[in-house]
Amino acid sequence: MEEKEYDSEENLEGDVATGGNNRTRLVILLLVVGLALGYMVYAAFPDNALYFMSVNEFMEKEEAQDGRIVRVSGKLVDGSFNRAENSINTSFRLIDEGTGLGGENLLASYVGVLPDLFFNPHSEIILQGSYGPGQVFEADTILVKCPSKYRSLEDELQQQSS
Amino acid sequence: MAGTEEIQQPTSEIAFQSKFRWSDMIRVDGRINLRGCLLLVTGILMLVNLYMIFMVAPTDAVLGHVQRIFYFHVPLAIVSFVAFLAVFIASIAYVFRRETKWDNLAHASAEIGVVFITLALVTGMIWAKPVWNAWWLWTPRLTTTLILWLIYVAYLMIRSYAPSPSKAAIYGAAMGIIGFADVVVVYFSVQWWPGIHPTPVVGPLADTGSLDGTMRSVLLFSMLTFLALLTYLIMERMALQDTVDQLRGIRFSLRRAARQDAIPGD
Amino acid sequence: MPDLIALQIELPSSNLPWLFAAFAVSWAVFFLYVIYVTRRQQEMQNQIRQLRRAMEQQETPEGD
Repeated sequence: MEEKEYDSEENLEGDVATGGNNRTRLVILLLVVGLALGYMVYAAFPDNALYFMSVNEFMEKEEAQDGRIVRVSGKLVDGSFNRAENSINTSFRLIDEGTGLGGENLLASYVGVLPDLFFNPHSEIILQGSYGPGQVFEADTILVKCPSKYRSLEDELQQQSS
Repeated sequence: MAGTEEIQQPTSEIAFQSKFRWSDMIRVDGRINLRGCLLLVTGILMLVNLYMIFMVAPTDAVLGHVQRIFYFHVPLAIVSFVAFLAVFIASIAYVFRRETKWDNLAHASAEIGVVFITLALVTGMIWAKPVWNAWWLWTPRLTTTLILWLIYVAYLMIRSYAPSPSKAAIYGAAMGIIGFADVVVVYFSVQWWPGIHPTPVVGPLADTGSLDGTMRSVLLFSMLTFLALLTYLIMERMALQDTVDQLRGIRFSLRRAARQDAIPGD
Repeated sequence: MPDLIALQIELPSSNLPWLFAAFAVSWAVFFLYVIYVTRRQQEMQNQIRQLRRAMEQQETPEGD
C-alpha cells in the first residue's frame, strides 16, 4: 500500500474551494481547545493541588480561618452528631484519622440533606465552606471520600460477628 | 458530498442487503468471517460479564450495590488507554512508513478510544453522585481525563477539517504521538496530586490487597471482555475506512476520465 | 424531609437507579456505535455498486 492515489491537490469535489474555509475552522478549533485546556489547568491546579487540608492543617493555618472558602477533611467524631427534631440544621465534629479523642477537632454546621455515606465509619468527610464567627465551620457542601479498598460485605459481616 | 451518485436506488438492491443469515456470521463464501466470529464471541462475553458482575461479584461493604459500576468504569478507562496506545504506535508507524493501513488503524482506534473514554467519564459521574455527593469535581484526575477526551475529540475534528486525506493523516499522526503523553499523566495523577479519586487497582501503581479476590477476578474478566469489544470495533471501523477509501478511489478515477473526455485532442 | 433523612442512615441500597443508569448508558452507546458503523458501511457499499454499474453501462452502451 502506498499513499492514497486520489490524494492530489484537486482530489474531491469542493475540497479545493473550501480549503481556505477549513483552515480557518482548524485555527478556531485549535484556539478553542487551547483556551479550554488552559482554563482547566488553571481551575484544577494552582492552589487546589492538594485539594483539601486536614483538620490539624486548618487549625494551624490562621489565614484559612478568615472567612474564605476552604475545604477541610476529617473523620466524623463518634456521637458528635446533632440534629434538632424535624429540622435539617445539623452540627457535628471532625477529627483527623489516627488522632485520639483528645486531639484537635473542628465543630461544623450544615443545613441540608446529608450524603448517603456520611455516617459510614470508613468514610472521610470533606467540608467546603468557611470559618464563621463563634468558631464554627459553616459548611455549604459536604463531599464523601471512600478508601480505595474494596471488600466484600459478607466478609465484613463475618469479621464483625466473630 | 452528494454529487454524481444521486441515481435512484433500485429496490431489489435493498432487499438483497436486508437478507441476514446467522451462518454468515461464521462463514461467508466459504471463508471464515473473522469479524462476524469476533462479534459473536464479544456478544457472549458481554452477557457472561453481566452475569459475573451481578451474580458472582460480592456486594461492597462500604458502597453497597452501586460499587458494581466499578466493573464497567475501570475497564472502560483502561481499554481507552489501550486504544490511545494503539493510536500512538500506529501514528509512529505511519510517520516512518507512510502506509495507509497505519493511518486507518490510528483513526479507527482514536474514534473508539473517544467512545470508551466518554463512557468512562459518564459512568464515573453516575458513580460519583451517590458516593462523593457531586457529579463532577475539578480534581487533577478528572481534569486531566477531561483534557484527554478533548485532545482526541480535537484529533477527530482536525482530521475531518484537514484539506486533504494525506494532510489529515499527518496532522493526526502528530497529535496521536503528542496526545499520548496525557494518558500517562492521567494514570499517575492520583499519585502526583492525591485527592478524592481512588488510587489505581490495576497496573504499576496498584496496591495489592486493595481489592477483594473475587472482585479482582470479575474485574479481570470484564477487562478481557472490553478488550474483545475494542478489537471488534476497531476491525469494523477499519473495514468501513477501507470502503470509504475504495469509494473515493472510484470517484477520483471517474472524475479524471470525465475531464479527459471533456478536453478534445488530449 | 425527616423521613428522607431517616432513610439515609440505613445501608446505601437506595442507589440501584444509578447502577442501572450506568450500565444502560454504556450498552446503549455500544449498540448505537455498532449500528452507525454498519449502516455507513452498507450505504457506501451500495454507492460503490451503483458507480460500478454506471461505469459498465458507459463502456458497453446497449439499447439506451
